[in-house]
Amino acid sequence: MSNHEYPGHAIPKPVIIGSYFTLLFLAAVMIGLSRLDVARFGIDWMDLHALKTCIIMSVALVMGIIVSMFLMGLRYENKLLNMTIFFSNFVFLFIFVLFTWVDTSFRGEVDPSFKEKINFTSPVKDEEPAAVQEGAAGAVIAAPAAEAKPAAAPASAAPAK
Amino acid sequence: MANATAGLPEHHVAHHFDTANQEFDSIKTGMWLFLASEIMMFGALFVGALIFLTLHPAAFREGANHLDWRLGAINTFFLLTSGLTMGLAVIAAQAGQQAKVRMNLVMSLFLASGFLVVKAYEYSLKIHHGTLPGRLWHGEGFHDPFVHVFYGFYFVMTGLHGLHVLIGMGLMIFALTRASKVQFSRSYFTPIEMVALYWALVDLVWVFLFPLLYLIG
Repeated sequence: MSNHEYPGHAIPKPVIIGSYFTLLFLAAVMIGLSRLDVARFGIDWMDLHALKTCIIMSVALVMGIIVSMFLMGLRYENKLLNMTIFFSNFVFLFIFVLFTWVDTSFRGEVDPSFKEKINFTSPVKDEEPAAVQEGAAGAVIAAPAAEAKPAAAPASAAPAK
Repeated sequence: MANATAGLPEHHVAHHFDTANQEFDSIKTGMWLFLASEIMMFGALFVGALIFLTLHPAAFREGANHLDWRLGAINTFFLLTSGLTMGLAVIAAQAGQQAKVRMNLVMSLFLASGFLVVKAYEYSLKIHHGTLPGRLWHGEGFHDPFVHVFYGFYFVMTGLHGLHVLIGMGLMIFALTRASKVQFSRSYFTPIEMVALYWALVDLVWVFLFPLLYLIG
């Protein structure tokens, strides 16, 4: 497949420099977005903070694509094997993310007795500060997303014992 | 292809390869496999952080708000700029410009050490404030009972990334020694290309780490 004269590929200098400035610009966009106070827009029918998070991470994704395409030279890669390795990697990562997220997010919804089986309740949703003391790291896994609310627990109870 | 530097020996293709192309392609495929395993390793941590973010957004927000985004921004600048100098080092190596290769490698080393200095300063602040993971936690003024988990992710992810920066610096020193021993050319620039690929991975991971830990809050 690679019967050209020289090994590898030469990424043009303007591409490297252009990518660098684009990445700097996108980093500035991310920082600007994160400084934006969405509460002052006064829109309460949608979660603007979650939207902001999604937009920031999408900008990060674009930056990641620029790094892999131009700095890592995937755009110029002529070996099908290398591209297969790289892209199949992300397919597996996606499966990994999806199944782990689905599993942990909906525990207790599919099987309501789940929480009783593992014998704890999420310290976040409990109003009694005493329950917070059970807040071991293991409890993080089982708390459904909808129930994750800020709790006014004493700071001394925060660390896992 | 005018080589300004003279006297350095040319690279000879290893006896178990037929051509320079075959040698380069084999090494590069091995490098991609290694990078893929690195992405999966960091991927596991990103999955954990993502799940923690969806389960406890308030804890994540509170933890992230106690990180100084300006320090993260300085480090982003250091890493992106060192990514540029590594890219330029590869171009210089392909053109056989040994002096430019060395200059770009030294600049990358300088920027990478700047990254580690900022990171060390940030760690010292966190240790001083007691925002340490798990049992080591003794921070005060926090409200969410899960905020220490955020700092668990923070230290493990930035610590592993910092270790990669350190290894990358070692590889740059290796590339510098190669640059003083072998003449690079369009036919042979493998060490610089591989170190640059590794460094681009360090950039790639930081591009996601920075917004996740510093900006989402």
